[in-house]
Formats: sequence, structure tokens, C-alpha cells
Amino acid sequence: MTNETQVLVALILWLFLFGWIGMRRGYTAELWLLLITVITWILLQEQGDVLVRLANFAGKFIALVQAGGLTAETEEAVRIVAEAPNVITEDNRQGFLFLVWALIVLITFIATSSTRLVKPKPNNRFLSFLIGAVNGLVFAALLLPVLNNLLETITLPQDSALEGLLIVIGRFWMLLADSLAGAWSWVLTWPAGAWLLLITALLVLIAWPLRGSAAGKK
Amino acid sequence: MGPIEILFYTVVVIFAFIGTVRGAHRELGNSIIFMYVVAILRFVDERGWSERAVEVLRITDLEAGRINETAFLLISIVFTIVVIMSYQGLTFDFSSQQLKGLGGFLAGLGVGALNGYLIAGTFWYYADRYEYPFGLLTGPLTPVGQTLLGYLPQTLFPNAMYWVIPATILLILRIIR
Repeated sequence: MTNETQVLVALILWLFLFGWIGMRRGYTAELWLLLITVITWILLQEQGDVLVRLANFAGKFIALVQAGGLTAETEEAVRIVAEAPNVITEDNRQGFLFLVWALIVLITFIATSSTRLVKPKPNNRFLSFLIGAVNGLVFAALLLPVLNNLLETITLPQDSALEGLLIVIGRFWMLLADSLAGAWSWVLTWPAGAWLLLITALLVLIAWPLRGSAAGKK
Repeated sequence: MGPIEILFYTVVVIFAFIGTVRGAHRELGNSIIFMYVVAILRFVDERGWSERAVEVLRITDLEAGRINETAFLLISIVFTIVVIMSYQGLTFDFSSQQLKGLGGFLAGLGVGALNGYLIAGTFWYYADRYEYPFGLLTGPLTPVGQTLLGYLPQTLFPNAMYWVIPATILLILRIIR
């Protein structure tokens, strides 16, 4: 089998998988996912600076609150804001925008899978498969360059698929562990107010759907 | 025995799994109780009332080391009774309705882990506060242990009374239908 044929088979498998997911979810859900995925990607690439400025503004506001600048003199408050470093810099700008996009796509996928939000209609299986496959193409085009960064750092053996799989899993595991360690170090720098907000918000989020049926029982 | 933080992690994980079995609707009731108790115990501790209670009770000859041991024992007994009572018998459930599916599993895991953190963290804090009586710690704390000491329920916030805020919000949510 030539290299081109292998690539073609892999691509067909990839599209078939997304097409099958499309058939399961229905064309309305897949269409919403496609539109939101593409539009948010274009918007973030073209107008991402607005979001970066907003994030930096929020970062400076938090720095101002932490330094007690809300009750300080105007000059002091201006100095605190000016000295506070930007949360999003040129180095992490692309990563930040990618994370925002990934979160939007994930939320859209979950939301459109809910039959309460996207009403199920008589399913056109072919149309659902087609839009699902288009989604597969879009995700391949958007995600492969990012995944390539991971694959570039490792050399996969051509003769053993199992060994290659183990290497990819190992590399992925290390990446996950490094990211978690980095995130944990960052979390430990949070001020007490942020911890309080996070704990309260999470508890309210869990308690909210449970309210209204309070009853003690054994 | 291994580092004390391993014991801490183990308790948190065990309670997280208990949370998945009991469900978030029950665990939230325990969380409310634990958060209030953590705040009250710290309030008592800041004023030195636990040491004074030991002196008043005259249950020791009042040597410095013995006061630490007795005060730790007293706080541990009170807290253990609260923990057992909150899990045993007629419990203070948040709701009779159970969250189902993956969301329910994760919610139970999260709230159970929070309860484990509040319980294990409180015991660790008071063990550290009273210089690890009864040989609870034989060697020095590891760097991870030192770091975690700053993130225990009593040290996470400048004042443990901060725990009253989420506890009261949950209590209001439980009462208002």
C-alpha cells in the first residue's frame, strides 16, 4: 500500500467516525456545532485582541483589589494598575485564544447533545452524516497543527503500531502531568478571595438543581 | 509511617468515594455542618478557650506538653463526635432528590472530597498547632507538607469565619424552596 493510499484510508476512517457521530446526534446539532466552531475560530483569530484586552483588564482589576487600591488615592491606584503585569502576553496569547475556542466548542457539543436545548427533529441520516463529516474535516484542519506540535517531539517506529501507541500514550501522559503540575503551582498563588469565590460558586452550582426538595431522611 | 500528607490525601480520596456512593444531596448537608464547625473551632482556638477548658477541667497536671496533648485530644474528640453524628443516624441531608448520571457522580466526588479535606485538614491543623502530640509525626515535614499547611481549612483564609459564607449560602438554598 502506498503512502498516499494509507493517508486516504486514514482520512476516510476519520470522516466516517465523525459522520457516524453526526448520524447519532442529528443534523441540527451538527449544524450548530459547525457554525459555532467556524465562526468563533474566525472571530478569535480576527478580533481576539478584544478578548485579550478584556482578560488583561480583569487581571489588572484583580491586582488593584488585592493591593487595596479600591480605597487608595487616585495616583496610587493608577500606579498599581500600571505596574500590574499583563496576564496575557504575546507568548501565551495564542494558547489563551485556543483554550477559549476549545471551551466554546466543548460547551456547544455538550449543549447541542441535550434534547432539551436542541429539539430532536425527524432525522435525515444522510444529511446528518454529511454535516458530521464536514465537522470532521474542520476539526482535522484546526486541531492537526496543534497535535503536530506534540508529535514533532517524538519519533514513532514505522514497523510497530503497538510500540507507537505506547509512545504516544506515554508522551500524552507526561504532557498531562506537566500541565497539571503547572496548573497546581498557579492555583497555589491564588488569593484567599479567589478560593472563597471558587468554593462558594462550585457548591452553589451543585446545590442549585437540588434545592426545593429539602427533606431530612435516614 | 510515610509523610503525613499521604495520610491527608488518602482521607480526602476515601471521603470522595464515600461522596459518590452517598450522593451530593446528602454530602452537602455534612459540608454545611463541617464548614460551621471549622469556623467555630478556629474562633474558640484563637481565643485560647480550648487551653482554658483543659485548665478548668483539671484533667492534667498542666505541664506544657501535657496541655498540648490534652487540648488536641479535647478538640479531636469534639470534632470526631460531630463527624460521626453528621454521618450516623438521622442525617442533615441537603435534599431528598439525587443528582443522576455523570454530573451526579462528579458532584458527589467533589463534595465528598471537600468533606474529606475539611475533616483531614482540621485534624492536621490541630496536630500541627499542638506540636504533633502522641508522636503523630516522628520526623520533619516534607516541603510538600510545609506548603499544604498553608492551605488547610483553618489557614486557607485569613480568618476561618470565611467558611461561614458558603455554609450560610447553602443553608439559605436549602431553606428557600
